[in-house]
Amino acid sequence: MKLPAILVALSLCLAVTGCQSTKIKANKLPRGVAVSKSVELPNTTQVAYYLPNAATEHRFYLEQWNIWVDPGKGVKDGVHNAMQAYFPDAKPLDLTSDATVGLLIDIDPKWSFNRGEAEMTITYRVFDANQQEIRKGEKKYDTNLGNISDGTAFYNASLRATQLMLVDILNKLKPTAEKYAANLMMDTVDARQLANLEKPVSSGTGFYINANGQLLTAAHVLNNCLVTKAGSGDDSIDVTLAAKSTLLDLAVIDTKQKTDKFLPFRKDVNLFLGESVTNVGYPLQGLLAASPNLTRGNISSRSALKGSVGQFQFSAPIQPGSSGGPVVSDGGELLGVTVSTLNSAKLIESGVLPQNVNFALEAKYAAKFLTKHQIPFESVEPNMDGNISIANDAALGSVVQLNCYQ
Amino acid sequence: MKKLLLGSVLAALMVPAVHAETATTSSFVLPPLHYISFVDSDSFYDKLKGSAVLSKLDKENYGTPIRLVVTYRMENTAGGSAAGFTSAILAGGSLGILPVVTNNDFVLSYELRVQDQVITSREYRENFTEATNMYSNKGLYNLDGEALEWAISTTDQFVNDIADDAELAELVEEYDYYFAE
Repeated sequence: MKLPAILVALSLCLAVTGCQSTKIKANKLPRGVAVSKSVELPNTTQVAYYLPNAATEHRFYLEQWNIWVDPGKGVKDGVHNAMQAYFPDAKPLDLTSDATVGLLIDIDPKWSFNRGEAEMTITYRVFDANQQEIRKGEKKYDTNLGNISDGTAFYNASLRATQLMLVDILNKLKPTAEKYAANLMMDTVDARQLANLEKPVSSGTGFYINANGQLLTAAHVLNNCLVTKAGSGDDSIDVTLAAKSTLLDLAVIDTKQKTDKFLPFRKDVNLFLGESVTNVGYPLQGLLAASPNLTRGNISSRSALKGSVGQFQFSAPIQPGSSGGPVVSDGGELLGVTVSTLNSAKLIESGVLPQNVNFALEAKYAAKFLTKHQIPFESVEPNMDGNISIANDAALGSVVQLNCYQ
Repeated sequence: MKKLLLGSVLAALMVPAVHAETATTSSFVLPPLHYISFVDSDSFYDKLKGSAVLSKLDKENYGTPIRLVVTYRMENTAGGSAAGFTSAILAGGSLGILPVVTNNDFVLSYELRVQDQVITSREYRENFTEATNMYSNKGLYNLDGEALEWAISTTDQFVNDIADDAELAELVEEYDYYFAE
């Protein structure tokens, strides 16, 4: 091949790459797509939009290249900028805000990847101020991944798909501030209408701590849930957050169902090294059947990782989904709340194979948390003559599965 | 980034640098933090740890619930892409004798996380023009030279910016409630 041909080929390659490395302007529509001239632009209709956190916080680390890849940021910024270009007052849905809107757009973004291309598919539903669905659809846009670390491809694909969605909404609904008056307060929006209730994004475990039907769990089980349900299948019930501490990784939720099967705390919690413990949880949901898993082990250490506070180490096996489950003594008393485990995969890479190194928050910090929030719980003297049967009954009777929906 | 040349042709695209300022005194000292950073520099770490608010920063505090995570990324600029395209053609045409000149925004991000939830974050941005030989294998994401100096200069700004952060003050209060001896 002669030099000019090489240069032409190189130029074409660079031209393609160059196009993918620049962020598209939010007010510039793709060729062949246009907003009807009868539509008011920029549009003054008050709009709120909902994006699941699972989509906006999607982020992973490529160790080989020492970079974070952040598709979530691309979705968040791409959708936001496209919304702002056509609805300058558009804002993300805030279920704690009393601000009012006239239209609510429920956006469900999904990525697919194929041969160096990223495709964004946006499925959307539009609701009026009466929370009636007035439009729905699906739009796709794909783009070359290009330089994966700067996130431009993720941004561009999200922006374009959102633009296509907005053009459809604008052309079909022809919204105006008068036609869709801002009568819907965001804090009155029915979250169940927006959440995908077919499949939870994550699951965990909780257990009753008092007769009022309040459950204690790990706070990270509930992170960013639009709807949380206790139990599984037809028996599941909606639950609400009563108190939370991100620092302790602890939360209390209300089921509003009275119960007599709650776990008492061990009074003046003393942890005995080597003491037998029982752990119950609902791990690996979607893979395992929805019945509680019970494992046995011992308290291995009164402390956890270097620098940790308030945690102890135990050996009863746990899996993803065990978080928030109780660590129970043979006397049937609560000793701790399951919060984390060692990252075995990471350690195996460095030639170390950890076995059953799991961590729980000590019950005395949970008690301090409950006291701070004036949430009742029961404390009992340690029963050192207990056995596996007592532990099993206490643990199995009090645990419930928690499912998080977005 | 072995040879970073502050842009002359593309100087108009540059955003103001973060000025090194003397850190203000914070009303609180953060509890022990685990330090995780892409910036592989002792000077950078020492500068952060030298501030009162981050004096309990530690690289081996693996279990602490609070983390400072420092990352960076390069973002293409519109002008930089156009100039890079032209430069790449010239570099290719000269069979690599001429360098490829690129212009990117270097974005440095600080995140304070509690149990892996971001409770406050700051981003600082600077525009750099870089000339590299197309045959060199310097690695895409190494940080040195002027970019590293600039990164170090942002530490004072970051410490200033979080000095009066209400959420961090609340965190310190909560930490003391549960764990103060």
